[in-house]
Amino acid sequence: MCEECGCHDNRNKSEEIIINKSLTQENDRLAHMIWHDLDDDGICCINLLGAPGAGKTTVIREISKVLGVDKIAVIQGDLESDIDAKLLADIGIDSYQINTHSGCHLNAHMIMQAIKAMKQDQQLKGKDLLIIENVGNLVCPAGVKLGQSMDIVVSSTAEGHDKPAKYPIIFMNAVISIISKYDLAKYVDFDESSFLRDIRKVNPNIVVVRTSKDDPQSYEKLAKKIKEVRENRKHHNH
Amino acid sequence: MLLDESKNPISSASIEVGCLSGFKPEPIGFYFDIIKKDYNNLKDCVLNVIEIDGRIKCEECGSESRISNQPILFCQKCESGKTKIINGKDINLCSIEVNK
Ligand SMILES: Nc1nc2c(ncn2[C@@H]2O[C@H](COP(=O)(O)OP(=O)(O)O)[C@@H](O)[C@H]2O)c(=O)[nH]1
Ligand SMILES: [Mg+2]
Ligand SMILES: [Zn+2]
Ligand SMILES: [Zn+2]
Repeated sequence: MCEECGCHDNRNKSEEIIINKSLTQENDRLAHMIWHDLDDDGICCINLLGAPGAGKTTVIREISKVLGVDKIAVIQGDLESDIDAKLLADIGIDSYQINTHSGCHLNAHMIMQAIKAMKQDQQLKGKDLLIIENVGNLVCPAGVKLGQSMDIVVSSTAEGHDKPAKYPIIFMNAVISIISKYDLAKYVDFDESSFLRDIRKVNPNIVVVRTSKDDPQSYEKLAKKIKEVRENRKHHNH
Repeated sequence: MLLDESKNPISSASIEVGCLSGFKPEPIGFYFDIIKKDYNNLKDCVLNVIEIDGRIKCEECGSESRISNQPILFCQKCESGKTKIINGKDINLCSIEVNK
């Protein structure tokens, strides 16, 4: 209310302040610090995304066998449980489980805390890759910076070929797209050309790799692609 | 929270949401109206959230294309896929209006 005459007009009583600040700046600042911190130790961070059950944990287990379980550390994001951390521990992979409870994605602050704890336990010593298995979700984790050098999206054939058309943003930000459960493609009418057409619309340069649990060579190919992409991006990321 | 830095009542704030940011104006407005009740200086704040188009630049022919509804990242002039996103991935608080 105007103090002079009691009217409700406060047009001249206010001042516009220009701010122009990103609302994600605090998260992005932490992510930037994480990237540098890991880079100083020669560790490349991968943000692994995909729907629940897409095959993220399986991909981590299989490529770790190729790249060496002692070279890889994992941060697991799930709403509840430490099931995935146990699956990784079974084959000797160091991992840290984050339970977000109702949280639908991970943020840089959670990753920073996880890295701190892992360092205290010497879990990052001598590691080459830090893989973040994000919460199973094709919507919310998209575009959230965690200090990663690349996003990789896992989509299983059983989810259907329309995922890039329906959830474009997550595919837009990724460098590698894994078509998992490729062994099931023929049973679930997976139309690969339609998948590829839609994914290229939002990300013309994305690298597509197919994996099947019963085909160890498919994970060797994936590991090779990851190395190549990492090499290519060395000088222009974060 | 950026908005509660000012002690004086804030009568309005404007946010720009890039169409490639993953955020949408409607839920931001919805949740803002819920949380603003907890901040003395935000009680009467009107939030203006606008969605802005994205822009991509073609690395082949150099032309810029605008993106609005669908994130299709091919150059609209030469159809090359070698494009870079130059705008539309951010969510920014642009300005606030503070009562004196
Ligand atoms: N047939 C088949 N099943 C797979 C493949 N990859 C994963 N699975 C199965 O799919 C289920 C979910 O896999 P998981 O890796 O836990 O998915 P996440 O939730 O994305 O981590 C498990 O039962 C896996 O054994 C595959 O390539 N082929
Ligand atoms: Mg898992
Ligand atoms: Zn969410
Ligand atoms: Zn062009």
